[in-house]
Amino acid sequence: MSSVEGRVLSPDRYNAMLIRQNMEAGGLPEPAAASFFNEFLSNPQKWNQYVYVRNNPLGLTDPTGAAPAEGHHLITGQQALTSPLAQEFTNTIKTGPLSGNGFPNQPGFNTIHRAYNAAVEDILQTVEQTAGDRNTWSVSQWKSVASQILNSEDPAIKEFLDELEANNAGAKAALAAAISSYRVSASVAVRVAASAIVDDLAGFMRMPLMIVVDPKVTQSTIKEQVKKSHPNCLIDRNTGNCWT
Amino acid sequence: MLYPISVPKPNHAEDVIGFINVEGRVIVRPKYMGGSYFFEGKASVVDEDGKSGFIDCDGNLALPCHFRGLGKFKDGLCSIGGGFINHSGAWVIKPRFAVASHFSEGRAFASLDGEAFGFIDLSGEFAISPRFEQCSVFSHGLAAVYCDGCWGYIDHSGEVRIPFVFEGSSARRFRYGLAGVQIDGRWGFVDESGGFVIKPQYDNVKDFSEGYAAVQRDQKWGVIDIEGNLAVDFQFDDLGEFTGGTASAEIEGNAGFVLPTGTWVIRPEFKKCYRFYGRLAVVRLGDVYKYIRRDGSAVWTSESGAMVQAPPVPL
Repeated sequence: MSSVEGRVLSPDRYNAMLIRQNMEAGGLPEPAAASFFNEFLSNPQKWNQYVYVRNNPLGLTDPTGAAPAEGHHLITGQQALTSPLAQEFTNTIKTGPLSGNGFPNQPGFNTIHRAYNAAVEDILQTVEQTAGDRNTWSVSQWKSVASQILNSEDPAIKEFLDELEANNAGAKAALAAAISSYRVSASVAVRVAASAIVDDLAGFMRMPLMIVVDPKVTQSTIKEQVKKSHPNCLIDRNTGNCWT
Repeated sequence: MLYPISVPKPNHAEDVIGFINVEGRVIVRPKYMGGSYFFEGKASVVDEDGKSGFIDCDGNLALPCHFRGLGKFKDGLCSIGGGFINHSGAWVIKPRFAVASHFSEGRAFASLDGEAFGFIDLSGEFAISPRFEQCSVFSHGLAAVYCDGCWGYIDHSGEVRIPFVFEGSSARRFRYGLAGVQIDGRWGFVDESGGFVIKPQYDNVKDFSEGYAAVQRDQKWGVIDIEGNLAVDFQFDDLGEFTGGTASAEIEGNAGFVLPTGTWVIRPEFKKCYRFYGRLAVVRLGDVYKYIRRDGSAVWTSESGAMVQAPPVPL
């Protein structure tokens, strides 16, 4: 018996045939069970449940163990960016969900990922020497830098992206297409406006005499801000004062 | 002032960020997902939810984490999220820009769409309408702006003071009354009238700092003074700006720090050196990085493979 047959036929909780039989026995419509089984057969990477995120090395994580969620971002360090344009651009230039060989968050994977991150940061810093802070770059400047990274001959970047392409044919083309097709979305303006509203409310709540547990302002975001700004306090409902 | 340090997160490709003091003692244990250098007594940090706030020089959270990105204060304001906050964390200019630089001389360049840039005043309104493709901040009353493939310089009212005749990917800001510009493939320096004080003759240049500028010819960097005299011959593979009397320099793959005379003050025994920020500088050696003093002694050394916490470009 091959390992594939063993996986499909073995009586464990991941056995697709048994799951289908149980689905039908449980009263679910036969088409639903068939759909599950066909989808299972269509993706052999799912047959071995010891594989992490479909053997995807580059960019996928699977915090719940259920399924890979996201592709690889070409430009790293998004969380440091302050400009709404920079945030959106770097979050947009990514591949789709990936598959392939590799072991996310394992020593071997971390080594090439760290080298990639460092090399990308070197390029960004070099451009900043003449173009200024990356948070002030225009759309065309970001596109130019992104193309420079995608086509870089730096060994760390090239090795990482070549590995990505080897396991996910078309990944580089997808990144190139994402760069060339990028346009600032209307959501940038919406997000900017929304953050102003939230932060105005947060500033209001930071005023000591105004920290009152008022039913009118008990939205989850407000309560969270109160917790963060006074992590060790209990708040008197009558006076609004903090009890440390 | 504290300095950011990074510690590799076990079994992850990311690091966690803490802070040391100038003696190398850990003041803030590594716990943040991101951290900046200090500007005007505050450093920005990113918490585990991806939101950013600011810590003070004692490492305490001065502004809670409800922003995005690592902001930098200058002249009492910080550009963040498309708006500007003051040191209390209150919005002075509410977020409405896709891009906004820091303020200099009462002007910041900004864009609503990331493509057309103008200059706003401290009220947040456009004083110079968005019509440029790229801009630099004001210095000496002038700002470099890019339009239709050429760079020129405008004044605070938006009037063109130096015509759009310069080429290349950038035109530098004025320092010591001089700005580096490129024309016919060569870099030189113009004064505030637009006349060349140092003729275009270099392959590349950097801004003047402390009276000296790095200039490149035939792949090698040297140093000139504000008269244009060659202070250090073309010999370095890379050369930074002078801060506190020294500049990072690299030769044949080895980096150290030099004086404006070209003399090594910290021997070239590192893989890469970054500029001094206050009393310490970051240097890379193998797969670790260190914070060193001006005498070259190390105050803190990273773990193997940690992400370098390089100083930001000068504002």
